Amino acid sequence: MNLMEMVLALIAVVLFTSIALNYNRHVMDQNDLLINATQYVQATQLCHTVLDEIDSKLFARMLAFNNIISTYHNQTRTIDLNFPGDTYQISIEAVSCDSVGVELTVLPVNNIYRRVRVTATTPGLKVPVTLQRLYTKTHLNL
Amino acid sequence: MGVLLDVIGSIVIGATLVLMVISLQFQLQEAADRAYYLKEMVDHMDQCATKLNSVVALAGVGLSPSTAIIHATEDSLVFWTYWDYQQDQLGITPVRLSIKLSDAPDPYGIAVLLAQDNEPLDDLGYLFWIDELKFRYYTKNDVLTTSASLARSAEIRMGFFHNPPRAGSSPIRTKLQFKCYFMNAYMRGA
Repeated sequence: MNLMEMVLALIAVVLFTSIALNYNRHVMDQNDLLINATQYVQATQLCHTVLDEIDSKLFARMLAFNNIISTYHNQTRTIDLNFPGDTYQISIEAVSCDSVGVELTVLPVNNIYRRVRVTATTPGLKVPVTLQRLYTKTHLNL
Repeated sequence: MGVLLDVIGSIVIGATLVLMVISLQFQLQEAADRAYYLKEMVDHMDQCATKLNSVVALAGVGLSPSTAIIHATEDSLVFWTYWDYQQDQLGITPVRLSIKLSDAPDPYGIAVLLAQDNEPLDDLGYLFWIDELKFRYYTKNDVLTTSASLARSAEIRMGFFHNPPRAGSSPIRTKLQFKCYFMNAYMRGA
């Protein structure tokens, strides 16, 4: 094998290796996205749980409608899910809003709308999951 | 002789490279198949959680919260409700709804069975590709309980599986943990 043949063989090896690495990296990226999707579903469920908790306490009159903000605003929770094996950080924001969920700076007297926004994050989750629900005061509430 | 060695060497190196390329292709194919299966599974996880949440929310319709739950065990949840899941409307007599793991026809092997008065529901009576289902119960003050009369919410742990795209590979597995509130119990004062 002369020098030229050796150089060509080396170029072939480098070319093949780079193609293989490139393929593998793309497959890994794809799998990361799917793992991320699994965490996204889990995070969505955790956000739903917080929103359902508020609903249930309002239904049972364990929580007064006017106390939603004082009870939940700026609350953070660390949820260690030992079954899937991830730890999620939950942050809750509760504000007074209008009928379509836009936060109000000037509050009307006896405003009957509250917006609760729940955000869940965990290591590996590329984009935090945020869900929000609008609560309306009814005669059933305290 | 030298030429012969060159030819043999080239054949060996060429064959090795071809084998590596073929192997890489197979691995890529399997990775793509697994990714496709997992995508379907993620969608399935979301649907199952939504379904169970809606079923549990209607537990105890028309009944006192303390008498609605019949069994609240780690493996199954059984309750009374006036909601007729089969007809998807309010019934005139209470029905007994159970949620538990059960044997299922091939290729599923095992599935979550939603049965009303021991009859699987026509619409989504089986939730397939689930081989693990555990419940934990909480009181209205979010304290763990094993008492059916005190249970006001259930934490559900589900393990999902799917057979691998190729024989010999490991199954695809995911897990989900979420909490469902017995909303009707809360509406009656919990």
